[in-house]
Amino acid sequence: MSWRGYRNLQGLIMIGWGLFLLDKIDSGRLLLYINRRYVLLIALTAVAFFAVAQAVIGNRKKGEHAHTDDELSGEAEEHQHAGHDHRPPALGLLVLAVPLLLGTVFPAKTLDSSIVANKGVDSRAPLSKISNAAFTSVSLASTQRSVMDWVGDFNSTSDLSAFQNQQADVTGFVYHDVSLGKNQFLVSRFVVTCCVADAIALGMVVDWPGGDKMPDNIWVEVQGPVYVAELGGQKLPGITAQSVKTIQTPDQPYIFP
Amino acid sequence: MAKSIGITSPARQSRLSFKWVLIGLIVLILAWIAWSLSLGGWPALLDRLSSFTTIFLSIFIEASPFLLLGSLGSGIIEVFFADQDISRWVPSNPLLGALVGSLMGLFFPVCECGVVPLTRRLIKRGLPVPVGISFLLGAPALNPIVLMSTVVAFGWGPVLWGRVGLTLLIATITGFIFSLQKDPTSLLNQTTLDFCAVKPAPALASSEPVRLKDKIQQVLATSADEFFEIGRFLVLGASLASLLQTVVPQAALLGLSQGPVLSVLILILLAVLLSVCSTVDAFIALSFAGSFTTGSILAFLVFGPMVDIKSTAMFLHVFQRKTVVYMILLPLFLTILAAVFINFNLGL
Repeated sequence: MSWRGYRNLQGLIMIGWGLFLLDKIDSGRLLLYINRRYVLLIALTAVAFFAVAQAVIGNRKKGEHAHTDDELSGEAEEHQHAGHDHRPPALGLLVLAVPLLLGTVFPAKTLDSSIVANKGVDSRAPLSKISNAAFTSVSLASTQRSVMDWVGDFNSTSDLSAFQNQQADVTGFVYHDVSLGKNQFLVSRFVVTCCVADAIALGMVVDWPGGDKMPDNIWVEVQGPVYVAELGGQKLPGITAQSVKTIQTPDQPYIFP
Repeated sequence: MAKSIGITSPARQSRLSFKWVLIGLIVLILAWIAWSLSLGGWPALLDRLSSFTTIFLSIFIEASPFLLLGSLGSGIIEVFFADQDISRWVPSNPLLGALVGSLMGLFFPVCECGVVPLTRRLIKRGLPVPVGISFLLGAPALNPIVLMSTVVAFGWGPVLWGRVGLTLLIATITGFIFSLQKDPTSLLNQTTLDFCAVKPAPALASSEPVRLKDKIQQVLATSADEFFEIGRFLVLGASLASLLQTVVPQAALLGLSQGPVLSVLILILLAVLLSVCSTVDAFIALSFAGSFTTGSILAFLVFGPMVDIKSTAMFLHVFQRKTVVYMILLPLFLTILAAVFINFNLGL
């Protein structure tokens, strides 16, 4: 491959990455990969990709590894030292193009119960004081609180009796932990602090006739009074469900603390 | 200097590291595919494959701004700084040099993805190799952005000061130990040596005025090369990290949270496994604060930014394999030692 061709491909791949990121932002699917607070950063990154791409397209300058630039030809013997060739590193192009192809071909998968089975259900909510100083979800009306708020409340308070019989109204997907009892399931959400790689599954125990038969991964809205449940020795918020409604998978399945 | 580097280096060792990592990864992926197939056939495999792709892309997308930023920084140093500018700051005393190296992140705010291209460029521009190693290990935690997020997550308490103190200590000690090596260039990988041997183009070396616009174009073109060179290692590292995420049961790991020693080992393992960017790791650590020992949380915050799967892949591009092994083991032992000591002796 000529250096000029290499440079052009470099530029094309970077433009490809820039367009890929912009498209993900535009369609909202970027939020299936990373936390909302990085969207602006990613938009700037796309612009930076374009800026870098225009500097290499049409450029036929050799890279720093192939130091036989015309200007340096007077020192040719020094450049033969390592005995390596001076072709452009085409393998690198391929390696950086593969993820771009994968991302275009495979749609982002929403993490579901198959991942919970591996990651486990956490009884600790990641608290972010950026979004809610000193964890103040208690000030939210009880029906406004998310699964994360409830789990966070249970983490931050030692006297759980205050939550007893408060009315909850939460959404999440169905997951069955092995240590659940009869007629129980977990209404679960993934919390994404940075990117999906650090997702943590949180859940509330739901008591509902036939709850153990509900299929995994369907999304539900659960309403009912809260009680203090236990799962594997950990205290978790539980709901004695009065209603369990099947809902569409929300556009934004993750909670961003 | 450039010339002697070229001659003393073992020839031909250069290209191996990337190929070996790539081959190793392909073998692992094949094993993983076979294992997934044996568990649940094709549907299970496809399911795992799309989880893998999603996690992989999420790491890559999250890391790309920081890698690009590091590449641009590297381009700026290449074009706008002269060699002497950098070596002038660094004291010749090896211990002081290592200390300065681990604190340099305060002026070059980069996380563990951006720091690799920057370090390589600084070494090219005359930064002593051991000082570069201290910078590489220290900068991802000891920089304004990361310190700010640590304050936001943990406040002005023992976790913040512990993180600052331990990172400083470990990065400095590790850099100092490497400075005992008589020929520091032997720590470097062949590709880095070649890279360092390149002289700046005459147009830049001379005092001839060059238009700012051309200089900026040159910064951008240099950073493109940097991005592609280090980026391939990010791709390998991120795929390995996401592969492990679909295999290693974290639930079982976190269940073992008790104990002053075990808790430290588990959070270190988790830091390596999650490959979280250092700019946000404090928020992740916060979720362990209730149930893990303070020492183990410090270990997560100190060792995680220094070493994780994706950064290790990138280290291999800059340093000899042997150097990388010590760059991982020294901080690992020091972190475990410090964290376990804190758990046993200080009631934080």
